[in-house]
Amino acid sequence: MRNFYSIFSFLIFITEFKISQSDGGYLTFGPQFRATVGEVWPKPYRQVKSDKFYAVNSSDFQFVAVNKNCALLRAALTRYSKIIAATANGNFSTPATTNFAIIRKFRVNLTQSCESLPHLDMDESYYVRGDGVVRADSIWGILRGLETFVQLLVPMSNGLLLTRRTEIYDQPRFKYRGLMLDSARHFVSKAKILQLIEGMAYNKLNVFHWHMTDDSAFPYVSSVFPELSAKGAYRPELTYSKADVLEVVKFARMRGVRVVPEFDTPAHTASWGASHPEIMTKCAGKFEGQIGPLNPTKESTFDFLYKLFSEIKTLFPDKYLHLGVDEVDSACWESNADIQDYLKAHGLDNGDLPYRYLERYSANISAMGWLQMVWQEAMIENSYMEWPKGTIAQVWFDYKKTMATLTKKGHDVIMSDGWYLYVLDTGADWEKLYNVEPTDFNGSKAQMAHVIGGEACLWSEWINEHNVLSTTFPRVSAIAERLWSPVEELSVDEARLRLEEHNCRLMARGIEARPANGFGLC
Amino acid sequence: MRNFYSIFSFLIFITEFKISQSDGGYLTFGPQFRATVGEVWPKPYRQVKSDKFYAVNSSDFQFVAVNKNCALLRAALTRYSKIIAATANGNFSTPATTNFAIIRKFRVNLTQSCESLPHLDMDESYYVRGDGVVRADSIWGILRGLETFVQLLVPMSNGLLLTRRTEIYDQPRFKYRGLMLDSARHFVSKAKILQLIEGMAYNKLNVFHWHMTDDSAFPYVSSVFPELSAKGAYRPELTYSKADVLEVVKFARMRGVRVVPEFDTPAHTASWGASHPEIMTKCAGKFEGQIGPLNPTKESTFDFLYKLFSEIKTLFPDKYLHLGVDEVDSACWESNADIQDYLKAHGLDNGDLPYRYLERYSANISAMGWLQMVWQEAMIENSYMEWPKGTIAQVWFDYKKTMATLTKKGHDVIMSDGWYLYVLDTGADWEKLYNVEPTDFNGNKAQKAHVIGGEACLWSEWINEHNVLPTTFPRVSAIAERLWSPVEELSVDEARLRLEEHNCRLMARGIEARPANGFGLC
Repeated sequence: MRNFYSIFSFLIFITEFKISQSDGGYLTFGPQFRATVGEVWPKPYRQVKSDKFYAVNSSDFQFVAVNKNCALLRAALTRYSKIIAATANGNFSTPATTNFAIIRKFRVNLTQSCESLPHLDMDESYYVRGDGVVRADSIWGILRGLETFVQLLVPMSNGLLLTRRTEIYDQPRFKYRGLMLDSARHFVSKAKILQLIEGMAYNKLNVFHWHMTDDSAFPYVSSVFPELSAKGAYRPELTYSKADVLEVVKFARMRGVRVVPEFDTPAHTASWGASHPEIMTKCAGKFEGQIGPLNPTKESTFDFLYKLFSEIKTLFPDKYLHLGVDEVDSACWESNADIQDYLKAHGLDNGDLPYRYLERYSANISAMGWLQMVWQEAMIENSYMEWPKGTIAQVWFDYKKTMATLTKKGHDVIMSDGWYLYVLDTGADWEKLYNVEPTDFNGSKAQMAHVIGGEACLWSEWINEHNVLSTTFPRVSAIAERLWSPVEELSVDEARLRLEEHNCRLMARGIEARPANGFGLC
Repeated sequence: MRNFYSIFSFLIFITEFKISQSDGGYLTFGPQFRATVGEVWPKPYRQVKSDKFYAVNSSDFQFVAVNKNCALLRAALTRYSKIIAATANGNFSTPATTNFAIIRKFRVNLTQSCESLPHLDMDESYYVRGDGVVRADSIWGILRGLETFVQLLVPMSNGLLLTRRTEIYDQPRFKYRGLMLDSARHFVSKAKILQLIEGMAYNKLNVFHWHMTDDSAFPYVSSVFPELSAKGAYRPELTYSKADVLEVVKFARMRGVRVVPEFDTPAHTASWGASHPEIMTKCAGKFEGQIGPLNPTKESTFDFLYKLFSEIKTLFPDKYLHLGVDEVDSACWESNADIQDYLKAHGLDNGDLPYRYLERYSANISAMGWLQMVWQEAMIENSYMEWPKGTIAQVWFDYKKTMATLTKKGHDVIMSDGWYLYVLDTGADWEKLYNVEPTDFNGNKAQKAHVIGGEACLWSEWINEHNVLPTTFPRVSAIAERLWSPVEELSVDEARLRLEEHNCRLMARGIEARPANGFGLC
C-alpha cells in the first residue's frame, strides 16, 4: 500500500544553509554554493521529474531481484544497501518531514542473463523510477541504474531518506570512459587502487587502464621472470603480487569496470633492463653507455615477450591489452652496431626497425587472443603498419590534427589530451577538464563516430599514495560527465551545484575527495 | 668502549639505486633523483662533517638526560625513541656494514631549567654531535637538537642505523616561523591538525596560527556563547570543543610550537551574525538587506567581545592573539542610519569608525594581557592608530612596498606574500616557495631587523580534510628552510636532493606528504 502526497512547492528544498555567494557585497554565513538535492551525476540521457515524494528508512528496506539474478547482482545489492546507509549520514540534508509514504521494496528487473565480464561493447542502458524500480537488459545497465537510483535518495534531518517518482532513461554517450594509473613512477598501494575503482563506479567510468611498468620501476611480481621486479622495482615491498592483481581485476569486474593492462614497450623499459639487459639495446655514439629500447632484431626479445605476456594474459581477462609504444626514440637502435649488421644482412634500413618490432609483437599479442590499444605515436609514426581490427589509439597531444588523421584512416580513438590529472591549477580546475570535447576537430560524421570515448590519466611523477585520491576526485567526475551525458546538456554553470552535491556524496561514501568549488562542507 | 673505523671513500654512500636523471638521452631505472643520506633539513647554521662512522641498533639504545630534566624533555625522548624505530623502516637505505662501533647512549645535556611555554623570544639554539650528544641551554633548543640528531641517522639494509661524528652548531635565522590553518572555510579534523603540528616540528616551524572563524563558519564551541557554533558552524559535528583546543595547544607546546589564535574581526564575521545579529551592522542603500562588519558604535559589541575573548584567553596560553582586521569594507557602516546618527551626535565622521573599533577592541585585548598580531591592512589603512608595543603585522600582498612602509615606522612584520599554499602549480613548486625572501625590499639594516619571520597560509577554499596534508608537505618544508637557515646557504639546486631525503623521512614517520621532485619512492 502506498499513499502519495503531492507537493506543489519547493519549500522542502530549501536546505538548512543560506545562499552565501554574493557579487560585490558582504558574504552571509554558510557554504559558498548551495548544492543540489538528489540530482544525478553524470547527468542522465533523459529525466522526467516528478512531484510525488517518498521516504526510505535506511535500515528498513530491501532490494528484490524480480527477474534474472546472479552473483554480480547479489553483490551489487549488498553494496548499494550499505551505500544507502552511508547516504543517511551524508553532510547535506533537507528538513525532516513525515508526510510521505515509506517505500520498503526496490524492484530490480534484470531481463537478460548476466554476463560475467564487462567489455567494450557492453550494454549500460537502464531505466529507473525513483519510487523503487531499476530495470535493464544487462547486468551492466543494472549496475549503472543502481548507482543512479541511490543518487536520488537525499538524507532528511530525521534520518529518513527522501526520494521522488522521477523517471530516468539513461545510456552513455561514449562506450570507453577510462582512468589510467601509472603505478611505476610512484607506487600506489592496492588499497588506494581499490578506492580509485570504487570512485570510478560512482561516476559511471568503466575502464581502469593500469600503466603497470615504466623506465623507473617494474612493480609487477612475475612468476616466469621474478627477477623483473626483484631488480626492477623501487623496493621489494613496492610491488603487486598476482593475488593483488587478481583482487583488483575482480573488484573492478564486480562494479562493471574493465581493467586494461599496459606493460609499455619497446621504450619506457629501463626497469626491464635491470634484470634482462640482453633484451635491451646498448647505445653507442652520442648515447654511449646508455641503454635504449627493446632490441627488435633478436629472436630472444620476442621469446621473452611471449613468455611474459602469456603469463599476464592469465591475470587480465579483458579482451584488450594496451601495448604502449609511446615516445620511441630510435637513435639508440641506429647507433648499435649489431642492429646495423642485422639490417645490412637482411636488406633492411633503420626505417624498418619500428615495423620489425611492432609487426612481430602485435602478431604475438593477437595470437594470444588480445585486441590492442596503443598511444597515438604508434599509429602516427608508423603509418604503414597494418593494425589488427579493433585497435584503438589513445590521443594525448595535438589532438585536433591527430584525431582528424587517425579517424580518417578509420581507426577508433579515445581522448586524453587535456585530461592529464597531474596538471594543476589553483581553484575549480574541474571546469577546464569539463570543457574538453573529444569530437572537437574537423571531420565527417563517420570520423566522429570513430571517437569512442576518453580517459583521464594519472601519470605519477607528482602523485603518490597520499594525494592520488584527492587529485582524482572530484576532478575526474567532470571528465566522467563529459563522456557519459548528452553533449547538448553539458554546461559548467548547470553542473556546478550538482557537482557540489556529488562531491559530498563521494565523501559520505568514503572517497577522499578535495573540494570542488570553494568553501563549504565538503 | 668505542672503536673507530675511518672511511676515506664514499663507497658506502652509493645507495641501492642508480642515478636515473639524464639530460637528452635514455633514462635508467630507479628514482629520478638520488636523495642525500643523513643530511639535515632545514640546513643548520654550521656543520663540521666527520668521517668517523657509528651504528645504532634501533631497539637497543637510550637517551640519557645528563643534566636538567622535566616533563617536556621526558616526553620528547619518548617521541624520538619511537621516531628512531620508524627511521629504521624508512624507504632509503645504505648498504649494510658491520664494521662500525655500536653506540647505545645519547647524552642530552640541558643546561637551564625548562620553560613550560614556547614563546616568541625563546632560545632555540643547540649543539649536536652525531656520536650521541645533544646540548642546549633551553628545552626549546633541545627539541630542535633532537630533531637534528635523529635526522643524521640513516637506515642500513641490515636494520641498523648509520651515523657520523658530525658536529652541528645551530640556531634559527628568524624567530617567527609559522603555519596558518583556516578552519572556517573547510573544517579540518583535530586528528589532521595534530598531524600538521607534528610535521611542523619535523621542519622546526614554531607557530601554529589558527584562523578559527570566518564569514562562512564559526566552528569553535564557546561556553559563554554556545549559540555561535550552534547556529554559525556548518554542522554541529564540524566543530572544536574546548577539550579539542586544549589538546591541540598541549600537543603543540610539547613540540615547542606556539598556538596563536585568530577570531577575525571586525569583518569576516558573517557566521557570528547567525546567532548575534545585534552586534552586526545592517547595511542600507547599495547593500540593502546585507549584513556588514561588527558595529563599532554600540557598547554591547565591545561587551560581547570582552566576554568571548575572556573565555578564549583561558584556552590559548600564548602571549599573542591575532586580531585579524583584514579586508574591512566600511561601505556598510557608512550606509547605516544609526551609525551615522551616532557619528553626528559625537562630532565624528566616517573616517573615525575603524579607529573607534580598533582602539576599543585593542585596548580590551591588551587589558587581558595579550600582545597582538594583525593583517597588514590594519596598520596600512589606519595609520594614526597607536598599536601596543610588540604588535606584529602579517604581510600578504604588495610586500615590497608594505614591508618598507611598516618597518620604517618601526613595526615588526612577518612575510606571507607568496606563501599561500592553496596556490597550485604543476610540478616542483616548492622551488618557487623556497625563493621567496622576506627581506627582499628596499630598506636599511634597522628596517630589515624588523622582519622577524614568515608564515605559510592554508586558506581552505580548496583544502579540506583529504588534501590538507599533501598540500602542506613537503611544500612548507621549503618555507621552513628559508626561515631557519643562513640566507647565503640557500640554493634550490643544493636543497633538491636534501628535500628528497627529508620528504622520505617525513613519510617514514607517517606524514602524508606528496612527491617533492618527480618520480621515485616517496
